Amino acid sequence: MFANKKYSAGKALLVLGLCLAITLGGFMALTPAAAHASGQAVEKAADAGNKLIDGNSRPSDPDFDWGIAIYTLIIRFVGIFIVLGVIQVIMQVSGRIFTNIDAKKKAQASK
Amino acid sequence: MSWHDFIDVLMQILTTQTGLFALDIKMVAMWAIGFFFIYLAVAKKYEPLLLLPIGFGIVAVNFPHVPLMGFNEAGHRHLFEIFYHYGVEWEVIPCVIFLGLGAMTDFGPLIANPRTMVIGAGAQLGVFITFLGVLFFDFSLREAASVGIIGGADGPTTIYLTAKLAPDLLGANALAAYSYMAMVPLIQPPIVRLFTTKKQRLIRMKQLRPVSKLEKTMFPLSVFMVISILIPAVTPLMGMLMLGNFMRESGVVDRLSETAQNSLMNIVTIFLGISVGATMSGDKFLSAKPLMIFGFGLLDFMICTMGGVLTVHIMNLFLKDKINPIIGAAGVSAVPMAARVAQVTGQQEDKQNFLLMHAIGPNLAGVIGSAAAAGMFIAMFG
Repeated sequence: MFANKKYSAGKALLVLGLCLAITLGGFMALTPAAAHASGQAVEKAADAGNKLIDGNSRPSDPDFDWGIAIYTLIIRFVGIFIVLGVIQVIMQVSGRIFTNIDAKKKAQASK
Repeated sequence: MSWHDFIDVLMQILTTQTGLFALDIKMVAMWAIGFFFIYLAVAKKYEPLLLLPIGFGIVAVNFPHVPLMGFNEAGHRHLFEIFYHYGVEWEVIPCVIFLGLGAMTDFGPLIANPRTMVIGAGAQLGVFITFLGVLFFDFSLREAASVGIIGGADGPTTIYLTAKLAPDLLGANALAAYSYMAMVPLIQPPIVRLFTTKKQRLIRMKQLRPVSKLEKTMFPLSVFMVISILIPAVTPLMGMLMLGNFMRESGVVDRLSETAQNSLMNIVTIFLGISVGATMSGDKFLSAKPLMIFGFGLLDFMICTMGGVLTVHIMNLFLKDKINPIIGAAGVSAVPMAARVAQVTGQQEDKQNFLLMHAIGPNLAGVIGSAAAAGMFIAMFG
């Protein structure tokens, strides 16, 4: 199908994305073991988070941990790049699709 | 009844029912601060929509016995306390302002050049550096986060985050954010010149492609879904921003869109300004912290500007079509002021170089980036 010139790269990516979403969604919904495992992971992470970060703590507190403050900050800063990067990729893919659709419409109109 | 009794009654009235004998120096100092911001708004036209009601709110709550903030004897809230409680504490006003902003915003330039999205992330550098810097002055983690977000240059986001994490700093943070947003034309150009060469400032960028109506309509929905999955903590803000934009772009609810960007926006702006000003009583505000917040806020803003410019430099190492680093400064989300400053700075080098539309892209990415940073902080400490 993708060898055919009628199908643009953008459309191929869209199909791939949909397939991925359906597969992942199906996996999460239909595999209780996976759901249970991910739930446990989430609980563990939440517990760890509660222990590590107390928003009211100050550097003058005896148990204040600079390491954790700095690590979590770096992770969050990188996180912003990831979030905006994901949006950027989605926009680039959808941009290609829409550009192709517009180009086709123009080509049809000129015929 | 003797004269003595008469004087007693008179003095009792004067001390308990007028403010004459209860004035103190802190209140007078707060009047000066309030009038200073009113002056900035009226005479200098610096963010007048916000600074005027904030300034008035500051002056108004710094009189003795005025029933504006706090509770009456029956336990009912006073007028400004109602505005503050239901508007800011309940997080209604910042979110409604984002609804209006969404309805006013054309994301076309960002959609046409998605690469500029990353600049909005890089321009959050100051937020995190300031967070660490403030910690050295023994601010709590929550307070440090709320001070750090000032550099994101997004008023509603700053207010939203501060009201959640450090409500005591709300007045100082909001004032710092709006003051520095108004001073973008003074703060940013020297930093841009410092971190760019003349040759880099002369870079001309390709004209942006046209963006179809359908693409603009799909944008808010897709961004809303991605943000809601990745940073659920900021969904109230981003959800409203994207709802406003969806109303605008769908074209089927023009009445709602117009209301959101005009009447509704104006109404909540009045309440927001008064509420923020009303939190600034002399007892709370006159301490070292607000001064430090103003100092760190400025530093934060400068580092964010630098972060945006440096991000463009890094991107240019990998790109065939180079980006003019001046538009990196627009990565802070003072919309559209920072984009206009980029345009003016670019035209000082080359009168035929039109950077405005290119700069709107990182400018809007900065709005999403600062909201994302706020979401990260809320997820950490909220």
